[in-house]
This record gives sequence, structure tokens and C-alpha cells, in this order.
Amino acid sequence: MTEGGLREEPALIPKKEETAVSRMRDRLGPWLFVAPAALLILVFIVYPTFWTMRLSLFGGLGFNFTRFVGFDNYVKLLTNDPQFLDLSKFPPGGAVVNNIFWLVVYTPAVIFVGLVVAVLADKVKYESIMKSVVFTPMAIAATAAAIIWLFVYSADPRIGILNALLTTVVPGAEPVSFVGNVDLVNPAIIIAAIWINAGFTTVVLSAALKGIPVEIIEAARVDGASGPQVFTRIQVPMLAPTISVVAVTMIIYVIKVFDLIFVMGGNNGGPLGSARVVAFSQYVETFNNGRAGYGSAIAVLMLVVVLPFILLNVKRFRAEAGR
Amino acid sequence: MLAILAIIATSCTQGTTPAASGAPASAGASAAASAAATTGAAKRTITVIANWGGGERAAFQKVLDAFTAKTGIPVNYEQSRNLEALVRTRVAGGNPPDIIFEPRPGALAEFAKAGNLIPLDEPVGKEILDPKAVSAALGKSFVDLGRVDGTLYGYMFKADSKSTIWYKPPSLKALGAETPKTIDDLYALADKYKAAGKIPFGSGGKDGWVLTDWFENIYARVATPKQYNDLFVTHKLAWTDPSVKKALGIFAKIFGTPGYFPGGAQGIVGTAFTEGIGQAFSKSPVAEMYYEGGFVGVIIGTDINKDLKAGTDYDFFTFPTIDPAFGSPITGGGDLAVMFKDSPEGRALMQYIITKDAADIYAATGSGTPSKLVDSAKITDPIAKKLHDQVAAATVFLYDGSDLAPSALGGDFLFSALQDLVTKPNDVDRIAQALENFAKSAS
Repeated sequence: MTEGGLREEPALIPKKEETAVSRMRDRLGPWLFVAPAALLILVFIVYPTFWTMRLSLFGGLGFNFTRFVGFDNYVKLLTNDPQFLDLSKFPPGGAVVNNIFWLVVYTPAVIFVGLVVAVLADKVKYESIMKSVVFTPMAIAATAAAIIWLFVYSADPRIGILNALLTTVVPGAEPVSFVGNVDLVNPAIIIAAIWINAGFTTVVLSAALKGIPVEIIEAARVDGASGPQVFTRIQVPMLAPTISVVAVTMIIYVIKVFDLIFVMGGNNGGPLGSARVVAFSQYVETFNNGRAGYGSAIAVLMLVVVLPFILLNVKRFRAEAGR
Repeated sequence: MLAILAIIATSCTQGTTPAASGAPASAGASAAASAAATTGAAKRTITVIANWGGGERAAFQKVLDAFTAKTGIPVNYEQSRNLEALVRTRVAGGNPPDIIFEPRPGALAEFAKAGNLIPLDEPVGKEILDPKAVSAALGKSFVDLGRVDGTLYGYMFKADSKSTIWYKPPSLKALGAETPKTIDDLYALADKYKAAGKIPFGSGGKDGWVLTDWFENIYARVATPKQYNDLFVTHKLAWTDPSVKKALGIFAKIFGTPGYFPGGAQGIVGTAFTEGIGQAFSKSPVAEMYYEGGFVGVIIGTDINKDLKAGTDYDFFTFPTIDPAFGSPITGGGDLAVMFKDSPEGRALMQYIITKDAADIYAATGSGTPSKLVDSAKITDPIAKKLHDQVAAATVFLYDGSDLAPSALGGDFLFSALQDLVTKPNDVDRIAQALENFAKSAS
């Protein structure tokens, strides 16, 4: 494919006398331009990927290829590691299930919040102030944001604002340990993640919103469409391509989310490891437990899961470029 | 100038005994060395990683400062609460630190077997640490914790009792109670606090190792040292053994009794180690006692509440006995100095920390040291002295079991299992079985 594409180009420029040297130059030239980037990708992405795949077939401790175990790591991960995937109880548990919970809850929620803020801000005079406020958390490092939320969630009402509210509004109520409760820890961390990333979805969606021609909205108004109708029938469908870009970005974020869980859930990934996600398991197995092969198997599984979304993105970039 | 440097360099490399590197003979050299340091001459900065922060870090920094003043070798101290993860990454990346202080002999063995460590007592005649100097400084059991298959890789620089329950003497006095000797006394005391409308213990179970330390103290008091070793190190003893279940049952009773800890089970697993100390010893405390090792004393005095006076406002008693047949063994933890990268500067630091000078400076800060060279009469801090004596007087000293175990078992799985038991105190059998299943599949 590249061969054909490259050969066509000389036809576009005025015809020169073809010599062996110029032919060579025509063929090599493009490759020379691509080479630096290709080399970097080869060294820093392709090679480590294959290295990780190979390592995932080895057992034992450390980053070495001494004990070949074949697909044992994968078999154990999927059938005999309750911290990673536990189908023996209902509802099922483990890092994989948690990650799915994140996908299902976090992704729509963060897009919804972004959309609502973008649409509402569009209607007011102090739009830029409002968007700046929502965007500010994006400027805070994830670790710092996680610590801020640990304070918010603190079980000590003298520290945690939520428990302070709770104990004042409902006299005699017991403070709730948000990050110490198996059922609350995941929603608690997801809310922090929404707080951080809503700024991103707002800004992107708001920009797309501005791109919708005013005439269409006006025409709809003239035809008698109400505010909510304009939103659901015109704005949302016209934003669909942007929403899908934002969704894919957020899905990839969810699959690799780690920092918030590490800081808010502690070394163990929440009480009883209940806040673990796949990337967290990979970290714990590789670095805390030293089982690099086992951790690599998790990394490979993550890659397999992310791949379709990346391909989807690439496909859409291609389609847009071809327009 | 060059000539002076050469002399210092040789005195450092040849000084295999503490006497040679730290004796008065080198006093002149050390003056020259600090002169060399101020002129920025070539002394490689060495990197040391440990997990000590706050007051613990400040205490160790005093030792490092004395070392730098003496040798002119600058030391870059890095703190990491997730030490092994950091070190494994750096080793894998081909950039190991010079020296780390590793709390887990189990992890030390893993590093040694992977060929990452520099042997400290080989080859004979050219040892980094003189075996005689090592045995003069440490008792055999401490030296052995640094050995892997007979070779010495680690030197136990810091050791703390972990059989210490911290309390507030004024609060105990107000209650008209005494320090408990047996577990039943402890229950009675806790119930008395409860009846007085107070919460007896601060928690800290978000950091799983706090829970493993509780469990190890209990297990050491219902089993023999051999069983302890068989359970944690060799796994010849099953987690479903009656002795283990008995210990898990006592653990479940303490953590499962309503009103013993702030916020109940969720409060326990949602509270980190230092937050737990704060629950008992901050300026506005909500609890009366806190169980964790000897290092808690340093943390209270320097990080939590500087107004509290050691010995009068806060003090500790030994973890109470459970079964008279097994007495009151002291469990403890420590940190082993381990060398990842060989260099004259790194050797100089290793040789320095085994000296009496280093041990005295460290002991004077109130930190726990296993060094026999320390004169305990010179430790001014009453708590530090009491801790030192507790370790010295122990008939049985058992090293922290989860630190001896292989990483995967001693780490997150045991943490999660004990957190599970905190939230479901009736599930002793299920959790013992889960631990056994995991131990089998991990080995």
C-alpha cells in the first residue's frame, strides 16, 4: 500500500528526466522523513510491547526470563486470583469487575456533567468564569486531587466536610468512613475522578457546541421547538461525533486509571482490596510482589482490551482525514 | 590537593574494619576530607533509600550528617513509603540505589537470589564488613536475619519492638486502672473505657501491616517460636491449623467488639497508620490507646503532638500475655542496610553504620537500634531506654512474620484477608481457608 502511494507522487511534480539516482531519492526520501518517528515508536513502544508479551509467559520473581510457564499466568489470573477476578460470589468481584463498574458509571457520568455544564454555560454571560471553575481541577495533579478528596471524605467530622455536614444536619448520626467502606469506596473515588475530568469534557463539548450553526437552532425555535427539545433533538445529535471522541478518551482513561486508587485506597487498593482496578493489580503484582511475569500478563490483557478502542479512534481519524 | 585525596581514598577502601575507618587515626584525614568536600572535590554522592519519614527520617539524618562530616562523602537520602516497588523499578532499569534499608528479610532474600545484592562478608579477607566487627555489634539472631544461604547481605541497623501498646498514663489514672498484664486484663480495661463513654483503641487498618502486626503478636502468644517460623517462613504449618484459627479468633474478637475502635469496622479499614496514632495522641484525641511498634514513640513526639511529654503524657506497656504457657515473646521489626551497588563511598557508609559512633548517635535520638555497642545508660529519653531494655530483656525475639514471608503472601493478600476478618469477625474458618489456598498457590 505504501509502495503504491509513494510511487504516485512523482507524477504530481513536473516530469524530470529519470535517472537511477533520482529514482532512488524518490523512494528513500519519504522513508527518511518517517525514520526518526518510526525509530522512536519502535524503540519505546513496539519493542517493549513484545518484551512484555514474552515476559508474561514467565514465572518467578523479577524481570528475567528464567522460568518458562507458558500461559499459566493467564490461566491463574482468570480462574484462580480472587483479587483480580472473582466469579465465585454474587455480585462478582475483583479488579476486572471494578473496572467494568467504572466504565459503566464513570464514563456516562463525566460526559453528562460536561454536557450539562457546556450547554448551561452557553446561555449565561459569565460563561468563561463558569468554565474556568469547572476546568480548574484539571490543573491539579491527580495525587494532590486525591489527597484533597481524602480530606473531604475523612471519617473525622472535624476534618471531613461531608461528615461534618452529615453530623450537623442529622444530629446523632454516625460519621461514615467513605474510603473504609467496601460499598462506598468505589463511588467515592469515581466522584473524585468526575470532579477532575469534567473540565476536559466541558471544554471539548463546549467548543463543539459553538460549532453548531446558529441558523439551525433558530430554525428549530421558529418551528416551535422547546429548550429541552432543541437540546435532545438538535444539539445532542449534532454533538454525537464529539461525544464519541470524548467517550473513547474517557474509556481509555478508565482502563488505565491508577493514581487516584493508589492514593485514596492506599497500598492495598481500598478496604479488602475492593477498590482495585486492572492497572492497580498490575502495579501491585509487578512491583510490590515482584512477580513481573504475572504483572506483565495483566498488562497484556489490558492491551487486548484497549486495542479495539484505539482501532476505533484510528479508523475515525482516517475517515476524517479522507473527508 | 590530589595527594590528600589519594590518601583519603585509600584509607576508605582499605578500611575494612570500623577501627580502621573510624578510629582517631583518621581524624586528620576527616578534617582534610571536609576541606575537600567544601572545595567540591570529587566525592561521589551516594543514594540511600529508606521508608523513614518525619521524625524517623530526622533521626537517621543525624547519622548521615555525622558520616558526611567525617568522610566528606555526600549522601542523598530518598524516602519512599513504597520502598520495594521503587527499588525493583530502579533495579530493572539498571539504575539501582547504592544502599537501601529493607524492612523485609523475605524481600532481601528475593533480591539476593536474583543476584541484585553485594555480599558483605565475601570474599574472605576482602570483606566489606569485618565479620568480627559485625558480631561485636549484633547478636547472632540479628546477624542471621541478614543472611541468605549463609552469605551476609544485610546489616540490621534499626530494630524496634512491635509488642508495645501505647497509652496515656493520665487517662489510665483517671479511670483508676492499671496497665494490663493478660489479654483478659486488656479486655477489662477496654470495657472500662467503653463504660466511661470513651473509645479504647485508635486503629490504622487501612495500612494492612498494622493488622498483620496485631495478628503476629497474638499468634506468638498462642504458639511456639517454631510454629511461628513454620507458618510464616517455610509454610510447613497450614493456615488452617488450630493454633492459627485460635489466634485469628482472638484477633476477630478484639476488632469485632463494637465500640473498641472509632467508626467500627469501616473506621478501622479506612484509617491509615499515622491517622490512627492521631486518634489517640493528637491535640484533640478520640481514642485512648494505640497498638504499634516502638517507632510510634518517635512519631508521637515529633510529628503528632510535640506538647506531649514522653513517659508522663504517653508511655507503653508490653503486649499482654494470652496463654501463660507461651509467655510474653517480643515481636519486632527492623531495617536491614543492603548494598545494591559497590563503590568505595558505599562501602564507607556500610562500614560507618556498624560503628559504636553511629549506633550511639542513633540511639540518642530515641530510635531503636539492635547494636550491643550502645550504652543504654546513656539513652536519656525514658521511652527509648525502656524500649531498649524491653528488647534486651526479651527471652524470645520473633521477627515480624509477614516481613519474613515471601512478598506475595506477606503483602497484600494477608492485608486483605485480615481486613476481611475485621469486617466479618465471624468468618474465621473461611478466611483461614482462603489464606491457606493462597499460600499453596503462591509457593
